[in-house]
Formats: sequence, structure tokens, C-alpha cells
Amino acid sequence: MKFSFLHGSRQFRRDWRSGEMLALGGALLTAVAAVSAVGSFSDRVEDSLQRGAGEVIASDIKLTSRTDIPEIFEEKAASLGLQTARTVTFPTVLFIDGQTLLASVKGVTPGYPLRGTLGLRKDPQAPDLVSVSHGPGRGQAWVDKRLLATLGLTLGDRLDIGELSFTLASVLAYEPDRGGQFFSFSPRIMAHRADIEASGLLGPSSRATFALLAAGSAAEVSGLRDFVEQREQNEIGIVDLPSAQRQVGATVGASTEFIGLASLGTLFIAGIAIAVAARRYVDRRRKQAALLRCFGASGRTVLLIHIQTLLMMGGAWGLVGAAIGFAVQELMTRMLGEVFSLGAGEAGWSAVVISLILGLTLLVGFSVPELARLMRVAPMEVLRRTETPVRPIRDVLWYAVPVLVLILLTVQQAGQTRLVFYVLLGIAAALVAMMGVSLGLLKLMKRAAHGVGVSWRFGLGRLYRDPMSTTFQIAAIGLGLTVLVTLSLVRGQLFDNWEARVPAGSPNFFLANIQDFEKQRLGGFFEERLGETPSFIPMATGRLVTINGRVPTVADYPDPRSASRIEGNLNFSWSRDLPKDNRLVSGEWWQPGTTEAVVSLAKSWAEPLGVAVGDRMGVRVGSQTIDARIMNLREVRWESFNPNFFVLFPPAAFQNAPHTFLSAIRLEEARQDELVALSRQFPTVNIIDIGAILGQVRHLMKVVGVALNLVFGFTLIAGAVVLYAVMQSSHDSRIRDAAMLKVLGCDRRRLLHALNTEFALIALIAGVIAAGAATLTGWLLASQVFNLDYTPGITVIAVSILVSVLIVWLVSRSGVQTALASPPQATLRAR
Amino acid sequence: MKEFVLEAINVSREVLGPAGRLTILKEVSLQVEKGEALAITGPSGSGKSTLVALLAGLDSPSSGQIILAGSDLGVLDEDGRAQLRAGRVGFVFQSFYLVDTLTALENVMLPLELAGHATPRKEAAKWLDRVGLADRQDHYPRQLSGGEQQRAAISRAFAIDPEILFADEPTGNLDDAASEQVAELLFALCESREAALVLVTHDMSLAARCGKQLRLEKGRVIGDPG
Repeated sequence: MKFSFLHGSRQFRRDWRSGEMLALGGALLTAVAAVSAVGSFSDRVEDSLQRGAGEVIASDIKLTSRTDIPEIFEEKAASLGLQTARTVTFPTVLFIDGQTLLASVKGVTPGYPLRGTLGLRKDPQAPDLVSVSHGPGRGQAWVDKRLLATLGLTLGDRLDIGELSFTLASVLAYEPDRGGQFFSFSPRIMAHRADIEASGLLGPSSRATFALLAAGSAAEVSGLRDFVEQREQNEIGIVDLPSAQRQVGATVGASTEFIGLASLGTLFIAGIAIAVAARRYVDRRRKQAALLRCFGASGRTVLLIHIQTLLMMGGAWGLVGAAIGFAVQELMTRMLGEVFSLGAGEAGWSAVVISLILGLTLLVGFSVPELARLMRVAPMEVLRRTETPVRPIRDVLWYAVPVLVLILLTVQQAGQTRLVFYVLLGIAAALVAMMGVSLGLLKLMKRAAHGVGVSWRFGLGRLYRDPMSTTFQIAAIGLGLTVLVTLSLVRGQLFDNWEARVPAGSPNFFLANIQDFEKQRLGGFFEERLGETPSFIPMATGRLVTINGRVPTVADYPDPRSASRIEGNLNFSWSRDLPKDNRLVSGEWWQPGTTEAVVSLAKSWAEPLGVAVGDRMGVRVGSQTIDARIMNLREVRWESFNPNFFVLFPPAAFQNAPHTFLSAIRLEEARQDELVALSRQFPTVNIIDIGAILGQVRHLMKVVGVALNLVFGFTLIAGAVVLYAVMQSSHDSRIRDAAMLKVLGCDRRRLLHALNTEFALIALIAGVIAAGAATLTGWLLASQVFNLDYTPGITVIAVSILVSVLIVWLVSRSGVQTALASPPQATLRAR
Repeated sequence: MKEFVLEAINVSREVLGPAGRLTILKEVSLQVEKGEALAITGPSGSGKSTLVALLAGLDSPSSGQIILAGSDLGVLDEDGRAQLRAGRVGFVFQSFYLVDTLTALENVMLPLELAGHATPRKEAAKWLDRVGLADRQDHYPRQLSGGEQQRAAISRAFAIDPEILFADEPTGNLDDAASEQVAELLFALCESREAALVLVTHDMSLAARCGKQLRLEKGRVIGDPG
């Protein structure tokens, strides 16, 4: 043991710069960096959202409703000894000097927040936050920095909201209970609740969300919960700590899951690189192992020496990888901080430690099957090269261990066994297909290159000598490249296409919260000012109370998307006919005038709940409950930008339920001043700027896309490391061949040409394959998932080949230089 | 009663080739006493290296018996044979086989550490000094000349004070002057340490310095060793 450690550490000190050690180190570094970056980032996001349990809802219990919460609940809370505060939140469009901005207004009573603090900046550029545990004073507004930037305002300016004018007193940088709205599309304006009530924006049945916050001991909180539940007021939702965390967790989970999957993909590719590099490591140490065996070392000692050498190497490279990963997650956090309401999440070290452990496990797991061969090297090899022993199946089965561990990790990360299975199957199939295609192209080139000069023949010959290894390196780089090209180019193209598909003249403003009595007046306004006759779509809010007669709980439904359906409010509409942007996918549409208790669901809404046509769903609005049979499932074209609903009933079902109306209009930019008049005449109607939302979505996609590319960048680097490892494995023979050419009188220029031919062909074939695969993936995604037309662009092909050439050139330089620089006599004598 | 360090009785080695069974060695018997030197000579392909490999326990015979340092190699497994070699058997190769990434000193320390020597560094330094490489101990193999590399390899072989030393063409890669120097060293050390020597060589003058000679042709012993 002592010997193996001493010898192992000596080996590491002297050997760490060898090609195969660099390949092993590079693979490990990439894997650790990817896992630590993604892991730390996820931790940080979750930490920031779940930091201080009470902060998530700024209290210990929160009652929410679409109407103001009756006094009786506040009185009860006070009598129980709980502290209370009230908030009201609603969206509104601001108009400043012809600019419109969708903002989210929040009115708070002075006691807010009951848990956590608000973070303010007195100067938008100031780095430090001032923490306060009270809301704004009368006449003051605290706003997001983004709002100031967009509207060209500064602190101290005045801002009109409804009928009141506010002084912009502070920049609101952190709000504890904003975590529930993970994606903060619209900037916040916070003001005193009394001011908001006086602004005229809150009508008798406003679309605002009202909340009563309470904080106190667990017994007091429980007392209030019981009181609310006993009164069976279904329009009042109860959000306590567990349910708030669940919703937050689901949103965070969905967002980080995909990125997590990407990093595991990197691990698989890094595993391949490790296996390839370990093979060369073993080949180059056979003599040494034989020598040690000659001197009396046991097979176990030989294995131990090399495992220790690799672990030392892994530790050193892993630490560098972890540091890189940490830096990348810092970059991602800064980039995404703008989109996610992160606050300052603590950067944890656990992900870094886990990534190191995982990296070393990966290293040992994928290299031991090769290292095991060293155990069996015959001491006889010191005298004469013996035949490489046929690798027993047991050696190959060793690989099953790390692969299985990675699969389990992936399943645990993705939570969906089937998805993981398909992804893995896809990767394996792609790898095999790419190897097949590259072999075909290689053969074609060989035939086409008949009669070419010595350099070409040499380059091609080297590729063709070991077609398995050549096609593997081409496929490895091709796969990494495909992922990156698909993401960076196809995604952009899909998005442009999606935007282009929004029909010209489709609505760019939604009007919500239109009361029945306002319909006629509003219709008149449109006809008179805009020459348009709007349609009004009813909308009511209820709650999902039963599924097939049972009260659903979040615990029963593993899909995180089901939480909001079960615990949140349910907005629905009714319609006589199937709306025009909808397509039936199962079941039948109802007869006009039906009085049967039936319901129609959007397929995407029904899926997480696992309900299908024929199942029953209980919905309660006020005191009225309907247990409706699911009559059909629909697919909705949301990109039409017409108002659509997940849940639709026949008109007779809820005709007496309290409801408002929605409408959608198209207003060209020049005429958007009309909105100012509209908001003055109809102060309770919410104007939602879809154009602005679309802009924000586009911005969000761009930022998330950059972050994703960062993660997929690791995949590409892992692919490049595989390429380096495979190239290293042919390094010795390349040097020998080059030496032979030199002995035969080949000059440097021709030799360089020959070597460049080999690498240029690899790059070209990998680039073409990646372009083809990316195009195919893009087409599949477009036609099968997004229902879009997809035209493959020449850019995809050009960029794939360009990136491929760049990577191969970078990776091959050191090998080419060594081959060129080695004196032929020394090279031949040494081998 | 003579004390044999090495004894081979009717040792044969066959391999399966594309054309069927191929006999590389046929019923070779030999004996080497303590401190005795045996030269194995013969043309290329006569089976010299195979015989040395079998005698040193690096490979197993198809039939016959080999007793090395009092142990029957036939009853030992691979690790058992390795254990036997550790500390008792020395090797010198034609291509030196110094580990590229270790210094001369560390190369000599290698078998000492494997044999569990208490002060491997000190002992290795002593041996390098003895072969005239005291000032080269921190040099890597690539920084040494061929003769120097072989001298380092010889000190590595003798550092463990072996009972028997196997040398496979130890001067095969050296010029005349270096060959002479290495051969001198090899015989002098064997004599002073009373180690038996099994020397494979093409060089008849070198073979002539050994007490016994065994000539192989096509895997068979020609004439009597003596």
C-alpha cells in the first residue's frame, strides 16, 4: 500500500502532462465544471426562493381572494393574537409620453411584510441594499429599477397611477413574497394600500388579488386556518408555508430540470472520453506494468498504483473544474438574475463537493475496466510484446456500473424514466447512425480521391486504417456539435417562425375585467374611435374541488404542474361552439343548448392530472358546485393571441356565476394613445399589452438561451475532449508514420499537408453530419412538437462545418507540431 | 550435495499458431548453482528469450518442471511467482527498460520498495555510486547515454541482492566501449555478491566468460551445457 502510494504519487508528478493524462484531466474537468455549475446554480435559485421559510409568503399564513377579504377574518386573526397586514396586487398599463409599460401594482398596509424584509436602494446604482420591514408611506411609490429605465424616470420624479400622483421614493430591489411569481415579467410598483384604493383602479369586483397576511405562533396560525376552513368560503385560498414552497419548488424544479439533464449528457460524453483516454493510458504503461510484475509486484499493487495516480490527477483537475464551474454559475446567476427574481441567493459549496465526488467516481468508473487490463499484463512482456489478451466479457460488463449509476442519476434528476430512456436511446442511435454515415462518407472519399498525391493518400489512409476509431471520433465530435447547433440556431429559427406565424392583424392588447354593464359602452367606444366591433368572452373564477368524486391533493399527483391546478384558482369560460383556434383531439363537442353537466379541457391542462374523456371533475364557484363529465379534449393554438381557456363549459352550466368579460383588440402603435382615453373612461378595465409581454418573452428566451448554451458548451467541450483523447490514441502511430515519411524524403510542407488532410477530413465529415443531424432534429421538433413549418437554413450547415473545423484545428495542433518536430532518427529509435 | 539456484527439467513450450501447434522449446533441462554463470546462445528465433521467460517465472511451460530459488514454479500462481521474484531475482534487459518518468535513483529504488526495504533511497544511492553514476542520480533516462542507462539498470538489478540475475542481451544496444564496461560490471558484481547469472547473448566472447554455456537451435539444446 505504501509502495503503491509512493509510486503512484511519483508517477503523477512526472506524468501529468502526458497526452492521455491531459485527456483524462480534461474530461474530468469538463464533467466537474458542468455538474458544479449547474448544481450550484440550482442550489442558489432554490436557496434564494426558500430562504427563510416565512419570507416566501412574507407571513406565516396568507389568505387570498379575488375580492377583498372580509373584516371578520382580520378580527379573528387579531383575537387569536396574530399580527396582520393586507395587500392588493393587480396589473396595469402605464402611459408616459407615448410609452406604454405593463406594470404590477401592489398596495400594502404599513405592517407589511410580517416576515422577511424589503430591500431598497436610495440610488439605483448603489450596490448596497437598505432593509426595511414596512411598506411605503402615503404618496410614495417604490418601483423596480427596470421601470425607471424603461420609462426614462429617476427617483424623485412623479408617476401617475389612476387618479393619483406618486413620488418615486426608492428602488425596490427585493420583495420577499415575490418568489411565487418566479418569472417577473412586469416591473413592480409598491404603494400604500390606502393610496391604491383612492386611485380609482380598484372597482367593486376588480381583477386584483387581495390578500390578508398573518403571522404568529404555530397554534395561532392553525387556529386561523381552522376558522377559515370551517366557514367554507371557497373563494378564499389559503397559502401556508408547505403549499407556498411546493408551488415555488415546482416552478424552480421545471426550470432547472432541463439544465440538469443537459449537464448529465455532458457526463456521459465525458465518460466516453475517460474510457478512450484510459485505454491509451493503459497501452502506454503495459511495459512498465510488466516490469513491476517482473520485480515482484502483484496485479493488485499495479492496479492500486494506477488508481492512485488517476485519483491524484482527478483531484487536481477536479478542483480546477469545480472552480470553473463556480465561476460559470456566478455568470449564469448574474445573467438570469434579471429574469428570475433571485434576490441574493447564497452560493453553496455542497454542489461543488458533490461534483468533485461525482467526477472522481466517473473517472474511476470509466477507467477501471481499462486499468484492470494492467493487472493481467504478463511479466513476459518485458522480453517480447505478447498478444493483447482478448478482453473478457467481464471487463466490458464493468462499464455497466458507471453507465447504470449515470442513468439512475439522470432518472432522479429528470423524474421521468421514459423521457430519460428516449433521450438515451436517441443519443445511442445518433452515435451509431453518425458512425455509419461517416463510414459511408469516408468510403466515398477514398473512392473519389483515387489517384491523388502522396499527402492526400497518406491523410486518407490514416483515416481508413482504423475505420472504427475514425468514425467514433467523427461521431463523438458530431454529437456534441449537433446539440450546440440545434440549440443555438434551430431554437432561434423556431422562435422567429413562431413569431412570424402570429397572423398580421392579430390582437396586441387584451382587455380584462370588463363588467356586464360596461360591455355596451365599451363597444361604443371601440366603434366610435377605432371603427371596430369587439367581441366579449365571459370569464369566471372557481376552484377544482373533486376529480372522479375524490378531493385531490398535491401529494396524489407527482407532476409538478398539477399543483397550481389543484391549489390555485381556476379561470374558465363557456361557449356554445368550439372556438376557432381549438381542435378536438378526443371526444365530441356538445350539442348547442345542452344542459348536461359536461366540460371541455385543453389537453395540456388535463395531462398532469391524468384525466381523460369520461372522467368527472367537480368545480365550485361561490356556493354552486358542478360535477361535470369530461366530454372532450382540445388542442389550443395559443399563438393566435385570441383569448382562449383551458377549461370550457356549455353556456348553461354557470350562467348565474359571478363573471366578467375579456376582449382583445388590435391597435397600431400610432393609435395607442387611445388607450389613455380608454383607461380614463374605464378605470377598472385592465389593459394587458401582449406586444410588451411578447417582447419580454423574447428577452427571457434570449437570456435563458444564453444560459443553456453555456451549459451545452460543456457538452461540446466534452465532445472536443473525446476527440482529443481519440486523437491521442493514434498519436504514436502518427508520429511513427511522419518519421517514416521524413526518412523517405518527405519535406515539412508536404508532411503538414498530409497531416492537415487527415484532420480536415475529420472536421468536414463531422461538420456535415452535425448539420444534417441538427436539421433533422430541428425539423422533428418543429413538425412533431411545435407544429411549425421549418426550412433548414444554409447557415446551419456553414456554422456546423466552421465550428467543427475550428475545434478540430485547435485540438489537433499539438499533435501536428509534435509530429513535425520529432527528428526521424530519434523517433524510430525510440519506438 | 550441490545447491542449485535454478533447475529446469524437460521444459517444453508450445503455442497454437495459424498452422497448428508450434513447438518453441523442446525438453530443455539445465541446472545453475549458486554463484555460477550460464550463457544461453543461439540464432534469432531459437527460443532463447522464451527460455529465460520460463526460467524467471514470467511465463509458464507447457510441460516440464522449473525450480527457482528452491520453489517449484509450477505450483505457484502469477502473484505467487511475483512474490518469489521480489527481492530474490534480478533482471537486466537489452532495452534497459528504465521507467521514463522516474529518475535514475527512483528507478533503482523501485525493486527495493517492492521488496519492502527499510531505506530504499539510501541503498539505491549507494548502488548508483558503485556503478559510477553518483552524479547522475537525479537524471531521467532520456538524459543518460545508453551505457549509463544500462549501468543504472544493473544497479537496479543488484540493489536487492538477488540470488540469481537474468540478463537478456545486456550489451545488445551498446557500442564496444560501453559493452565492455557493462560486461565488466555485470561479472564483477555477480562474483562479489555470489549471485548466479543466466545470460542470453549473441556475443560469443561474452558467453565465453560464463562457466557454462547452453546453445539453442530451433528450440532444442545442441550439445551438453558445460
